[in-house]
Amino acid sequence: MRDPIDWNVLARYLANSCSPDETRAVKAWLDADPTRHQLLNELESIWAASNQPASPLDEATLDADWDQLATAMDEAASPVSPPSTRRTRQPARRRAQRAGRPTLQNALYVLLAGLLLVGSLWVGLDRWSPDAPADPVRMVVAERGERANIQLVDGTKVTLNVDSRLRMPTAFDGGRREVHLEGEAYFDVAPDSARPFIVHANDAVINVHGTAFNVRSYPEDRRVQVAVVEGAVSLRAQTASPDDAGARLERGQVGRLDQEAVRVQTDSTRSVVPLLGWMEGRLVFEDATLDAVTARLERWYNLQFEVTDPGLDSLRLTANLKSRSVQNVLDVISASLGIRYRLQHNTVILADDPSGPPPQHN
Amino acid sequence: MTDRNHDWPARIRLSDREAFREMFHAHYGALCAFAAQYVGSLDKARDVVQEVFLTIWEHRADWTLTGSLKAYLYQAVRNRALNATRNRDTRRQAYAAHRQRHAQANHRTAEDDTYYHQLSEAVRRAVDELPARRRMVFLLHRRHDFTYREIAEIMDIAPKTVENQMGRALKSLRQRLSEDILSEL
Repeated sequence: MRDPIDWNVLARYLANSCSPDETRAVKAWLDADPTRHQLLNELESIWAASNQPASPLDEATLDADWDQLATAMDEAASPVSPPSTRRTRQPARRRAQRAGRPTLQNALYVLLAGLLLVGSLWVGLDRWSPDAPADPVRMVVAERGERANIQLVDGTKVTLNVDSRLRMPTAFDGGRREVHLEGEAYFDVAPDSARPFIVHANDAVINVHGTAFNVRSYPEDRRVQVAVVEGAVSLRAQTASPDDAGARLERGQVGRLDQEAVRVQTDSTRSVVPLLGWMEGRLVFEDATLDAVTARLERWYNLQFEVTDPGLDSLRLTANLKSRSVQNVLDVISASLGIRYRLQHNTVILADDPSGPPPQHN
Repeated sequence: MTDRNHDWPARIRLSDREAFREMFHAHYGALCAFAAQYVGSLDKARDVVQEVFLTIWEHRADWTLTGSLKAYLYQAVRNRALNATRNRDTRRQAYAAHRQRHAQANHRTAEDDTYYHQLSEAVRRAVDELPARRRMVFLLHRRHDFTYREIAEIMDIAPKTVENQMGRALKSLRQRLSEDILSEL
């Protein structure tokens, strides 16, 4: 006898990987018989409970096994020398500081927008987790090389820049609209005087008074930068007292919260326009270090950079590039810095150009 | 899922030991759990996974990836684990021992009376009882966060098979669980 239930489609429905047509079909199927909703509830509980931690090992075991492996690596490297009692580890490279990021692997299903293509991405996080029914959370992720346009439930529009994440509740049912940002985003906040809109970015809290503004808080920036396009916001440190209203930023102002010195700086002289260049696909650099340039390009094009010559660290780039192909952008940047690049698969190797800096034209 | 934000393979190719350590810490534990499904014990699994990491390090200079790093690691661990348990009888015995240990572990935590723990323990037991391939497919999806397409690659099976195994896993888990724990809701 044929099974009246299409379990394959239900599994994909739970996995959030049904096409819109299939989703509609599942919903129609559910609505046709109330007991089917009961079935789905049961399945959602099972599904959520099956997402258990992948690793059965504790930290101590992990470290012990790494030590064991490291010993084997040393032995493999130098089979003739006697085993050393103390292993030396190579110093972490500069890049390593950037590598540590919060892990979001659990229960994250990401629908990807295409390369540099704008799409909206919704992810059910903890949606079926029975131990956290009170405050379901949604996560929108734009991976490297991708951006995302999102409309929140209150009508607020958000554009997420490459390699950025926005976390929010599935409904703003408290008295506040609070979201958490990692990376960079432009907010066009729907007016609602009864429910303030609050952005948390690293250790900054941005209170919004009905407005459009840009927040940039990539880890390597070591600061949160807020540029106000319309209206006003106030910016304060997470650690500041709740009574602290923070620094008020008006239209056209840029505020910064530095990680080390917990203080807000405002800047009215600097134009906000270059800070919004990413919205129209422009790569804008103002006296940027090579490290900052490569970090940006890594996100923008999902590339990896290798800088072979430490002497290049002192270079500074000021440029406003309409980004086209990777090659095109690398051509312009390397010509203006007087360096060479080699592109291999996803890796760009930068080296000093022995022919020297570009000739100066007066 | 976030491996592509790391440049581990490129750095490891250049003998960057710190990158290798980071990659190890990010994946080792989950890979051991995965390997244990094949070799039957966590201890054997740890050996298998360490061997895989050591092989990568020894051949780092010409280590190339065509797909995702995570899928590569699981595929490599699966191959190594299958080699380690080529003898079927050993494999069956080993798995029986593994189930036995699991049952004991479940018994220990059965006193934890929160609903969530009861349910997740019941689900864990039910998943353990699935036929081997179905269990692997289901765990790769739910515990290790792989897509159907990646699971097909890792397990070397057709995407349609992944789809069918997921559907059947869901059906048997529901049949198995609706009788006991869900009826107490």
